[in-house]
Amino acid sequence: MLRNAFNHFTDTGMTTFGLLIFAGFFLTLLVWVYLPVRKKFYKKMSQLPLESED
Amino acid sequence: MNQTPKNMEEIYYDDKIVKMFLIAMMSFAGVAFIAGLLAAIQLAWWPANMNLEWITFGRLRPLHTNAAIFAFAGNAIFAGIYHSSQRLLKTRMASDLLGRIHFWGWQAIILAAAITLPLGYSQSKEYAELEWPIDIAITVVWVVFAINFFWTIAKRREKHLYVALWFYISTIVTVAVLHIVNSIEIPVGMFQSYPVWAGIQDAMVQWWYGHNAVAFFLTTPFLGLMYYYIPKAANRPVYSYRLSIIHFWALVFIYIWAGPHHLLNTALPEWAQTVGMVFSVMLWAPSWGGMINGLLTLKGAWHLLRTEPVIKFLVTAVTFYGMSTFEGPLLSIKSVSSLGHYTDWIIAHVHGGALGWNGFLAFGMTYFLVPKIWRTELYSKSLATWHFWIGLLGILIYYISMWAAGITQGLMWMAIDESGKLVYPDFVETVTRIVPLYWVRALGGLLFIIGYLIMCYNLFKTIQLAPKEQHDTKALVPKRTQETLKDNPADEGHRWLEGFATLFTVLSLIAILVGSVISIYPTINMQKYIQPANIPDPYTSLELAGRDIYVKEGCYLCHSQMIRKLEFDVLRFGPASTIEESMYDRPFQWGSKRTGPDLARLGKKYPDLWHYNHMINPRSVSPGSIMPNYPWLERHDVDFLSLRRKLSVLKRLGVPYSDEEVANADIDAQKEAQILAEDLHKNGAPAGLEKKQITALIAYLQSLGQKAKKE
Repeated sequence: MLRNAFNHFTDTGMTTFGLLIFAGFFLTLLVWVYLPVRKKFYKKMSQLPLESED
Repeated sequence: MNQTPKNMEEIYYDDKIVKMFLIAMMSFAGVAFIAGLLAAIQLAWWPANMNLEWITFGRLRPLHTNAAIFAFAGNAIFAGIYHSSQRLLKTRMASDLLGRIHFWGWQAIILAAAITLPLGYSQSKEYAELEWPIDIAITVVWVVFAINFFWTIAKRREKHLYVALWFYISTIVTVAVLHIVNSIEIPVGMFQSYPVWAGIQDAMVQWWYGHNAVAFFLTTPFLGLMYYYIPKAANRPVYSYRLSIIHFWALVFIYIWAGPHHLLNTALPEWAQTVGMVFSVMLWAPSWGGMINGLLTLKGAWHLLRTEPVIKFLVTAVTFYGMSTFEGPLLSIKSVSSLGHYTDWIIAHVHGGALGWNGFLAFGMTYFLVPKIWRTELYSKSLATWHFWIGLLGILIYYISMWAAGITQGLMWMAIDESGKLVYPDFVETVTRIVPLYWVRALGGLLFIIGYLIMCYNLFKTIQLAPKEQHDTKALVPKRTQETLKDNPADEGHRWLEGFATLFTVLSLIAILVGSVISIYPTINMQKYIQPANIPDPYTSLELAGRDIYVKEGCYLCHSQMIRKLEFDVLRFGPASTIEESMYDRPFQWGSKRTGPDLARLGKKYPDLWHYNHMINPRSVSPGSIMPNYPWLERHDVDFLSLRRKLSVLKRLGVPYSDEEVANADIDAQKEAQILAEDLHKNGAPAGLEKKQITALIAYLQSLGQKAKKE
């Protein structure tokens, strides 16, 4: 099955589709991470290294 | 009397393990740097090889790279991980014993490397040279480290995992996968093995490993350290926590695909080259996102850069990270690669990363850590500042000289005149032209070492000033209760994910496996790319014995066996190499640097006696050559008795040897050697070379490019 899948590597339609999935996933992640609702939480997380005294 | 608040408890962090790794790091740094300096001098002045087999360039260079990567950078990573993880997870490391096994096991591996590499026990796969017993030891010690680390995560008192810990997790998981897959080999002796991968398979697996050793041993753990120690040293939080999330996921997903950029314009199928190139260029974005995040953490605290040596080192390290991760994608563009590949430009690139990024980050972290965990002040800030400027000057001299050398030589190789001929047909001419720059490089390395020696003195005096009674750091942390670890109903999205270490680990594993499987799987099915008409004959048993000597002496470090599909390569060395020509090569010997010419079509170009003279004294037949002499090759005997076992293993792996050839491997080799040695003697070489390594090596060199079926 895997071998069949790899036969599509030279198929530009399939590779473009793969690229779109990849870019779409990345952009969704970007938007999701930057949604303003979690601002307080990220602030708290970024303080973690400064909590230990040494 | 101080009362411990309710819900809080006092614990002690294991500082001793951090101290042990720091001392090991500083000690092995010296070995790595001095081996590097000697190798640099050998390239500028060949007599520095001293006719000693143990320190000749081909054996010294793997010692240098292994010491720099696994001993210096490795111990630095472990020191930082053990220190920062305990504080971020608010717990002592799960097991002191596992920590000690990890420490002593790792140092034993380094010691084994320092003994076996000079003796010539090498798999000749870059950064994976160590032979099979040491490979097994690395796996065991890495698993011990992983158990201790994940066990510590399991008993943490802080639900959420800070970004530095994600980078550590991806490092542990990915290095394990890389090391195991690249080390699948079959032993043919106590200290020799053949990889199961051959030719193009081995090339793909090795550079998937080699590139990602840089990614997941020299980049992700150091980024974890950056995300912890820059905020600590500047006493302010990371510039953007959001950006660090994007940085992490984009980096671990994209990095793993980029390996084929080491094989551009070669016989590797076009699609794999394109994938490697595209992903390498994409890598630029998350890398610079990370660099900007590191640098902007200093927003509002830039004055520290003027006064604090720790900040100087850390900020410069991140700047070098930015330069290297700009240069890397640039070099991965096929047309740029055709100029830069095989030249000293690549050496410049890796040292910008190794000295600037890894070296300075490790130094900055150490200047920060030593006074803290030894409970004292740094002996001299001024000496640390001197170290910074001398070291930086050293790196710049190194970087610029190797850029100049690489681009000069690359352009000379490419130069074709109007009549379509090479302007510099004599390879050695392109070498002698850049020898002065090799001296400049050695000077850069020397300055870097002087800086390191100043650091050693400074740290020694600092530790001398420390109180005699040393104890572990005491910390007040929340009790580990359902309360501290409970799921907050408001947790969602990435913050929810950070609370689940196992799920997080599995997701990062998937992120790296996607690219790994897609880029490696098709080339493992090599048969698809093989034209049956072009299948070559396998090596004779004597040629195989000679090949093992070629591998042992590290010839691949200066000679490629891969003529690229580029006009100037073809004009200089002959028709472009094909996949079939190396299909039985275990390990593959495509090489990554041409300090000497390509050897893929060397066979029958010169008489046997030429090769004999060339190995004893290269300058007798190639004036101006910087190759070392190999006088021991006419002293040491070939191990004929091991040949049957070797052929039998290769036959099992699919090389078409007949049962008869396997059974008579040693006898056949001796017969072939007898004829070759008599011919050598007849032409003026000394008598009695039939059992000597030089004869086997000549047989191998004469077979290069001669094995393919003739039309």
